Order: sequence, then C-alpha cells, then structure tokens
Amino acid sequence: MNDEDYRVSRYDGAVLLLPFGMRERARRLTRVDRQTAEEFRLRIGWPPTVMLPEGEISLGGGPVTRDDLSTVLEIATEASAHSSSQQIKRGFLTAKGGYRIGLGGSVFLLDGEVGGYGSFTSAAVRISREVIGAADPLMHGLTDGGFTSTLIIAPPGGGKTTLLRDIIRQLSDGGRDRPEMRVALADERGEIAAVTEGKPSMNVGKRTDILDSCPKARAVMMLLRSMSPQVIALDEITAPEDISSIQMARNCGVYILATAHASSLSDLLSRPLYRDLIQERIFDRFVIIEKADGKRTYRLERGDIK
Amino acid sequence: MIRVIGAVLIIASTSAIGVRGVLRLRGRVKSLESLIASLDIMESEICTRLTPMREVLEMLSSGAPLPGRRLFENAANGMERLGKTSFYSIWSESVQRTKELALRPQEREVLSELGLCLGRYDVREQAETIARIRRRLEIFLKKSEEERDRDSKIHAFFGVAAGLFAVIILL
Repeated sequence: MNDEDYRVSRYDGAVLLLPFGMRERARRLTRVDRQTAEEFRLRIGWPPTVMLPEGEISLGGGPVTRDDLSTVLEIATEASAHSSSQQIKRGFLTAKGGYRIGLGGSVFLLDGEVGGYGSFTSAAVRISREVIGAADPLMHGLTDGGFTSTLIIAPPGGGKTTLLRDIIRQLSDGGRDRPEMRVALADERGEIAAVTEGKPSMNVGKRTDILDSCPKARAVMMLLRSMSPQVIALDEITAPEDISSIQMARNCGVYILATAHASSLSDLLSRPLYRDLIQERIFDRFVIIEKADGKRTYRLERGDIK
Repeated sequence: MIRVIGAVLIIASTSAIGVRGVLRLRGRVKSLESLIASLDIMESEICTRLTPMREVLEMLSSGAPLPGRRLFENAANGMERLGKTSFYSIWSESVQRTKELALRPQEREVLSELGLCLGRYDVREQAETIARIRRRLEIFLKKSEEERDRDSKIHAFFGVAAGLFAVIILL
C-alpha cells in the first residue's frame, strides 16, 4: 500500500467510528481531503465537521445529537463504555486502530478529583497516521556519538507524536550505523503504540516495551524499575510530576525522548515548568518542528540553551 | 383391531397436545428463572468488574443456565456486526430470535429494553436498568409459576379427556 492509499485507509477507518447516518457524507470528501484530514468534530447542536489543514469544514446534514455521541462511544468501546471509564475520565479514549477520541462535556468531581462525565457535549475523532521514515532526516543527527536525551517541540497538531513514534521505532530497531536500544514507552493516551488486544497497532520497534493507559509520571517510574530501559519515551510533558519523574530517570542514567507543546525554544524557555528541565540540561538535543508552505521541516539544536 | 389402534392414536395425540401445554408452562418458568440468574451475573460483571460487553456475553454463553444461555450465545455471535448496526439492534434481535426462550411478546419486549442501556458509560444507570428489568422479570416469573401450578393439571386432564371424548363420539 502506498502512502496515499494508507492515508485514505486511515481516514476510512475513522469514518467507521462515526454514527451510521454521518458516514456517507464523510465519504463524499475528495481523495485529497481524505488524505489530509486530521480530525472529525462532533458538537451537539451543530453539524459535524472535518478538520483539514486549511481549516474546519462542515460535513452537512442535521445537527449532532446526544444519541450520536453515545453511538460514537458505543462503536469506539465495542459497547463497553463502562470498561473504558478510567480512560474516559481523563478526557479521551483510544479506539481500535489507535484512533484517539477526545471528549467534551460536563464532568463531576469526587473528593476534589474528576469522577467522570455527567454528560457529553462534543467529541473529536483524531485521525492518527503512522509515517514510517518520518524521522529519517534526523536520525543521523540524533544518534551521532550515541543517542542522548531529546525533546521534540511543536505547537498542537504539529506532528510531534508522529515523529516521536518513528524515532522510537528507529532507536528500537537500530540501523546500519547504530545499535538496537531497549526503549520503554509510557503511552498514557494509548496514541503512540495504539495497543489493542495486547498488540500495538503502530510500529514502535522490536525492542520497545509499552506501558499504556497509565499516568506518565507513574509509568516512567514503573518502567524504570521493571524494564531496565536505555531510553524512556513519553508524549507531552505537561505537569510538574512528569518533570520529577524525568529527572529521576535521568539520574538513573536512562535517556529521555519526550515531546512538549511550544512554538519555539524561546516559547519553551518562557515557561517556568520547562525552564528547570532545560537549565538542568536534562535534554541534550532539541528537535523543533516547523511548518512552512504547508510542509513540515525539522530543526535540530544541541544542548547549551539558556 | 383397527378401531383400537385408532382410539389409542387419538388419545395419544390429544394427550400430547396437553403435555405440550404443560411443557410450555414449565418452559416459561425455566426461561424466566435462567434469565434472572443471568442478570445477576451480568450486573456483577458490568457494574463491579467493569468487564467488556463482549466478554460478559461470552461468559454467559458458556456459564449461564439453559435456556437463557442461548440468548447470550446469539447476542455474542451478533457482536460481529457491531459498528455496522447498534448494540440495541443486536440485543433485541437476539431476544426475538431465541426461540428456546418460552417467553410471551410482552416479556420479550421488556428484555429487549435492556439493550438500550447495556454497555453505556454510566455504570449506575446500567445497574438501575438491570435491577428494574430483573424486578419486572420476577413479576412475570411469579405469574408464570402461578399459571403453571394452576393450569398444568388442567392441560394434562383436558388432553386425555378430549381424546377419550373424541373416541367415544367416533365409536
């Protein structure tokens, strides 16, 4: 299957998560749009939309109803939304094939923590795609002199997860001029490896151990203790506890491969949460994903950033 | 000799009709009992262990008492169509198609309603619905036991009596 067919097939797979009445309209998009579509958005009271690189367009038809959102949940969880309640509590769920569904609605609190959703008002079906070879232009720079801790930076929707997945795969599988590495993957949202029925739906390499659906900070500590990794990979550093666990792993001599939401290194440095990580030189390399003329480019920078 | 054989055949046929009536009454009781027992297992699997629906159905397909088990077998097989059709459709079709369940249309209707809540996000809502359906099945069970106790002898008696009556008339 060539890349275009693969991209369309991922779109078609995501269509199957939509309520029955919406599927036909979603299939009417041009082939080019189906290749590039990033998300379906379902908001109660509004017609469903699809997110294309140039923006969100309506799929037409009647407004999304509560039943439509229930149907999406039913399909995604194979009529077992109750079994996914822990994941749903965190605002998303991962369907078979690695499609992530973000959820909006009214949450209720229990003892100050999110207890769950009282009702759902919107859903975003993300059309994740594996891009084998996405990291090819970077691998030499990332492993020159041996792989060391690396942070991937891009704004939301910038392609961080796709790049992260391919770097994990390439580190894990090794290459002509680099050895295979034991990579432990803390896949909190199940979006990187998309494990379904015990098997990763995405290729994350033959030397990768996965711990999914577990909060990142806890997952890093568990992987550190149990899997003796050389590299720990995780997506989206967002909380102080993520930082603490990363520092702990680095102190144990394990390299970190992670991503963070930021538009640039200066944007990252302006945030107290990340400043410590950078000043402590936890990361030796930074990959900045930039978008120009609708194309993604990667810029690799080395450590001494202040 | 032919007359004797004919008489025996007539009495046997009408008795068989009577026995069938008795078995139907007993079958209905057994069906409702097996369904109520299965709902108990279902509730604990869904609401306590948060077991996925496919597993719950497969578990009941092998472990639930007969004839209720047949319903879960049909529903488990129907899960292949999930995504092309709704869970409610799979469930209600299974309820309607499981002929081994000796249920009346109203009882099948009540059992079909369960498909509207099973596998939904809200565990409490599922527990409440299962409990509500269970209570209604218990009411049906009570009535069916009364009917069985009241009508079994009548069915058996009238089966034989109708045969004898027909034989007397014909002879």
